[in-house]
Amino acid sequence: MAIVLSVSWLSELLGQSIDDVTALSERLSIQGLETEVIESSTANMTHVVVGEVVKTIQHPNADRLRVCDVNIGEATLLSIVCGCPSVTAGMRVPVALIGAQLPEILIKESKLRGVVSQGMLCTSMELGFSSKKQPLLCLPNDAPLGVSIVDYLKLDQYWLSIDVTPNRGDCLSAIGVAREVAVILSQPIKWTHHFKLPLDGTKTRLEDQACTQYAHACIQSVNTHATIPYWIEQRLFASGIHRVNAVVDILNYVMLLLGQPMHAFDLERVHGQVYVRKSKQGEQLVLLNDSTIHLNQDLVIADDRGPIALAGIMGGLNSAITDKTSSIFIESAVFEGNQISRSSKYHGLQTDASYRYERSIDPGQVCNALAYAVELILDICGGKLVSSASIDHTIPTDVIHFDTSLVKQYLGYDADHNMVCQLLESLQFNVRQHSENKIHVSVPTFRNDIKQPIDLIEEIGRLIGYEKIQNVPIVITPTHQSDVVIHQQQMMSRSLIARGYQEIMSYGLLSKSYAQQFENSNQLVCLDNPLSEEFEVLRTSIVSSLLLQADYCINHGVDAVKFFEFGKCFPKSQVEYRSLGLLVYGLKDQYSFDRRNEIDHLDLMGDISVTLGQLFPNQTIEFSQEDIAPPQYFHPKQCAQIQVGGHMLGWVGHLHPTLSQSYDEHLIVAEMNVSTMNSTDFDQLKPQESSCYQACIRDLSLLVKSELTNEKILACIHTTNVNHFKKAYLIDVYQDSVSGNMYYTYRIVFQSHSKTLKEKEIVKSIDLLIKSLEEVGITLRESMNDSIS
Amino acid sequence: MINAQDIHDGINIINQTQTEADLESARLHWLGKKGLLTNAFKALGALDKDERVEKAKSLNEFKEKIQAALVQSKLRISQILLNEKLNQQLDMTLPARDAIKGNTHPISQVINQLHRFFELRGFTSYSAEHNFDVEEESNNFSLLNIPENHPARSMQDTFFIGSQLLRTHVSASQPRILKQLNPPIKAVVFGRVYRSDQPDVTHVPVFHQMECLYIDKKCHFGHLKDTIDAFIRYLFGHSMKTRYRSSYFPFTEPSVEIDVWMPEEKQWLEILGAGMVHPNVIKNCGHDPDSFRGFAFGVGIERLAMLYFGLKDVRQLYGADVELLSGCDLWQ
Repeated sequence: MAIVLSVSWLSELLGQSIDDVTALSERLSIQGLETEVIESSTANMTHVVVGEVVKTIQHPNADRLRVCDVNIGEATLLSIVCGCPSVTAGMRVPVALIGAQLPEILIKESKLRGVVSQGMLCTSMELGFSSKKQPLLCLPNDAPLGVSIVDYLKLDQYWLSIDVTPNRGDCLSAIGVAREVAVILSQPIKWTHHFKLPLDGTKTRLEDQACTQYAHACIQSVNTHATIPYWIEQRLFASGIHRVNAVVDILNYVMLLLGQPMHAFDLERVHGQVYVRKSKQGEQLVLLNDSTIHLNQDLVIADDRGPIALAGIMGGLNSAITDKTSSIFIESAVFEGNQISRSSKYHGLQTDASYRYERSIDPGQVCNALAYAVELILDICGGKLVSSASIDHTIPTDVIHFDTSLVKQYLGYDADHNMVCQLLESLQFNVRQHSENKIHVSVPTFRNDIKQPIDLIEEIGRLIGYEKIQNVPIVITPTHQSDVVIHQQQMMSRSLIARGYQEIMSYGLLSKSYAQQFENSNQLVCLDNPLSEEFEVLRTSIVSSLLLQADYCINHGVDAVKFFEFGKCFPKSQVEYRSLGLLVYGLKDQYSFDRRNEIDHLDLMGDISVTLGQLFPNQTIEFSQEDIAPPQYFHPKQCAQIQVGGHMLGWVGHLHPTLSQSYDEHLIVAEMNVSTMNSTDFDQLKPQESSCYQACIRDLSLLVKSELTNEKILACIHTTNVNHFKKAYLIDVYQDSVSGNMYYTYRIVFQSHSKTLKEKEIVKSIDLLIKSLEEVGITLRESMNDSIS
Repeated sequence: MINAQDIHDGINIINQTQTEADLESARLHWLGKKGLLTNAFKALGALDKDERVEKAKSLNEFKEKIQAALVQSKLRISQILLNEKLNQQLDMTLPARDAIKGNTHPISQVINQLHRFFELRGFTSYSAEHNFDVEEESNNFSLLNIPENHPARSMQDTFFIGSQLLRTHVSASQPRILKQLNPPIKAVVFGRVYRSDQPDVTHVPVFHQMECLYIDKKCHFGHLKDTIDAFIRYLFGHSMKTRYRSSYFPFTEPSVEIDVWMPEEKQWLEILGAGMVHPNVIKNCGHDPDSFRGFAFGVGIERLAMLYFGLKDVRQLYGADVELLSGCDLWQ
């Protein structure tokens, strides 16, 4: 939450003008209060001056308008038409002259119902510092005529918008920020007030330890409709606090000044004794905002009839100030931050008060703040203080035993003992010398974030300014262990991008209905508090993310895509693991003018082979269709397992028709678990020397019946123990147009390392091979029994 | 008989041949088995000695001239052929085949750069260990000195999964590393973090961070500054100006935020949070805070990538705009 304060308020508290606002804001930012200078709502106002209404007469043509003669200190009076009923002769008010620029309007000479008006008499809303409709802004009788209202009211050019970190609850107040400014300007705070409460009334009963202090004051015959002074109005407006009524506005103003949240009850609607206690089973409370909450071990303020306020968060409707209220009970208390935070979260209520309590308030300020509020109320709203009381446990002062030499050890900055003591004292810490380098530091009550020596070191660091600390290089030592994951990803990326793939990234959060198409719903990890239906579950497959990206591309007319993504997958029954996904569709080379081939699974498998081959040199990379149960998003008969050195790594193939049917494009995907990629799993194959004897080649054309695959045929060839066999590979696939039969032709290579092979030996080997193929039902192409060439 | 005029005419013909075949037939015409000169030499045997000597001498001169002309023309014709070949033009500007190169993602590029920088400085990068997206509450919060109901918890809106959560910062790896290793520790962790933010120009619910952790006996704020300045300048060049602003994180103290100066925009831009590891964190993870100190910082990778490539909308990094992504290619 940012707090917005006017610069003039801060100068008033300091008793010194602040000239260079930008420099101050920068220094505050560096010192830990991130500050931005913003233009005030009145920054650009011109031509508005103090004027006196000399005479008013009824407008001839309108009952509600009056025509006023206004003296602005010049020879001639201005004639101004005014619609405000409160306008009377003799009052001094802000006058917007012709040409005046107000926040909302530009004033021009105009006729109102036939009468010329030479300007406008202004309310504070029109001047841009009130959110509430008000009567004319009435200025004191000694306000000098003709003087610019900006100068006279000291209206701000600039405001400071300050982001307060959670540890600095004390700076959620003008006084707290002023203390920080005071350190920068080396100028003590000037603001004081002297009103003291008699503290003679009945004390509130504290029944729970989460309330450590409770003060109250009762005032009778208060006018809650009183007009609050423009300077309060202006300061509340700057900080965005809504106007309610005079009493609540004043309490909010004091909160803004001193950081102490306060609440006012209608005294006549409080019955009997006031308690602070935990809520009881089944109790309910209707809050000021009209909502009913079911209390749950919350800290409440209660009277004899039950809860009247949710402590530190919001008052109850049944005890709230109304238009008719004339007697009030004002509370100023300390409630423990954890308790307030718990209730605030439980009920989903955050208020200016709860925000401050959660960040801890200054326990030393409870009675002061109440006294100042009472003083202002008596001043502005009238009334009579009838009683006041306070329960203040003695506030323990934290004393930290501090070794000043620690500063250098932590900051690397040579701050000597005296400098450390001086800096701490500038922050109103009380320093007592104990022994050489050892001091006892008493922490002021408003700095409840300071608890241990390291907190003091930070205070010193931020006051010195971290820019003053010298850079010192760390000692460079060799890394013991390289990051295999990143290393492997880099290698695979390099290979994939060289083959035209683009890396992309996805959120990895999916809608449940979509994710179910990739994994059984009982395997999905669901978020308890998802952002929206779109981001409900963690992905179990990278392909699920890639398909969403492809969907976007297809809808945007991209006609070819080669994507890969590295990321984690989160199936419920497994530990999260890293996965590589690939997705391709469209033309293999969309910019080719002569070869318009569509990419197919064999292209993708080639890319995978080369990529894995870089990672696992000397390993066989195979694609198997044997005995497999692929993930549900693959076409069951058009996918294969990716194997490296016999280890399963992932899957490649066509998408399941239920996922791909809405697309014209042929989407081909692959997914590999890269967490399991560890080259140490594999035996390193040794390089083989080539033979200097001639290799002999024979081609075999085989009839391929259904269910028979290249993989099965090669497996049969490889497992047959044939003399001098070197390798076999597919060289042709042919489908007979008449019979529809499918034929694969293999080239078999024989070679010896010790001699040139004789025809006899080769024939013998080939015969053996054919025989063992026939044993498992693989036959030669009929008409080509003589194909052995 | 062959006379000097015949030879002269013959040489002229040879000199005008345009092809290797014409040249060959000219050679055969003079020097072939039945060539004029061959026959003339054969005919010499029928002459008496004096005449033979004299004729032979002139025939040899003729032969040499013809041969010289043949050699010269051979050279001439091969030059013609070469010139013909050299004149055969191909349109070498037709598009190259399969020439589409992909690109690593901008986020990966930044991670690779940071990884290289810190690996060279002896930091161990943990991707396989100490690095979980689904985390324990303790590692993400309480061990990092963020107790329950602490206002800092609401600085980061957390996704919960039963008793676990999706880490809101890679700092969640700090307790894992600290509990398992003994100082000196020099570690970096790259990973995804999750916060409950609707995607907009500056927010995405999932983004990447790098956490850097250094723990040793004598470590101070000057070491932190040097390390951070060095890596920022490694990425963005030596003229990059940095500013250290006091800030607050529960798990570091003193805490700072680091801004870099944007000369074009004439303003500071916050790019990371850092600080000395809070003694409570060191203690929570089983080490003695009086013996060991250190620094830690966390940096958003997206922020760096956007800054580097001049991207305006963080969601672009999670889209499939290939043109944009492949254009982010400064480090390849």
